Amino acid sequence: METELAQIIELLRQIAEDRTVPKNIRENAQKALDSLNDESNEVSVRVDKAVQLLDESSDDPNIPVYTRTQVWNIVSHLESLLR
Amino acid sequence: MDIKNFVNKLTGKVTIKRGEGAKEEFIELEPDEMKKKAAKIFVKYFIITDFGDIKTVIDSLREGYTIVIMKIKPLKDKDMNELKRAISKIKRTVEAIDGEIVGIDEDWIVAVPNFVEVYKGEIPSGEEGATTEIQEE
Repeated sequence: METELAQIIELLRQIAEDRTVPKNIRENAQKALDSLNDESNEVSVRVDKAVQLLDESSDDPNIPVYTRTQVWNIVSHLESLLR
Repeated sequence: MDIKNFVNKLTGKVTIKRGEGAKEEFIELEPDEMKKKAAKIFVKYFIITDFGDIKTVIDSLREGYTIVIMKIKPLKDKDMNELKRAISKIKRTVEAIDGEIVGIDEDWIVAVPNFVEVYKGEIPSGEEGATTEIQEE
């Protein structure tokens, strides 16, 4: 699980640093990243928070298509961690 | 009782005499540590009028040690689809914290953390032998 989480964190970092992505979506990606790195909460809570932030981003009409695909991919991996 | 010793007792200082001619020494006793406040469990209620209102609900549940009671009637009367989305989102968070979400009434929902159990018993109605189950959502 740790390695998978690390991979997800790396994918999120790429979105957060991508200048072609709108600022609000980058901010949400950063918040999701911070939530995953927040060791004061249990993994399930961290993952749930990150998933909900990314769900919000994927509903944003301004999100680029390729970024939406990346976000869905990340959400799918995160949800598999919850199961 | 010697007045000096009495004062020392009040201030928490203790005088030690080590025999004739010895200098008086003081040992300061640390005041008692403030008793740590017992951890509290919160019960919070919310009136959900809009989808955005659930953000505070979810944040409260994630903090832990919180029982949340929500009145969903305003949102239910406004938009049923929004209500379903809202409850679905709350349900995901409740599952993540390993808690439980139960409908008390048509208009009220309670969400509890993992150390709380909601008793889903039966309430006897006025009619003899008939019972009414509490709805579970």
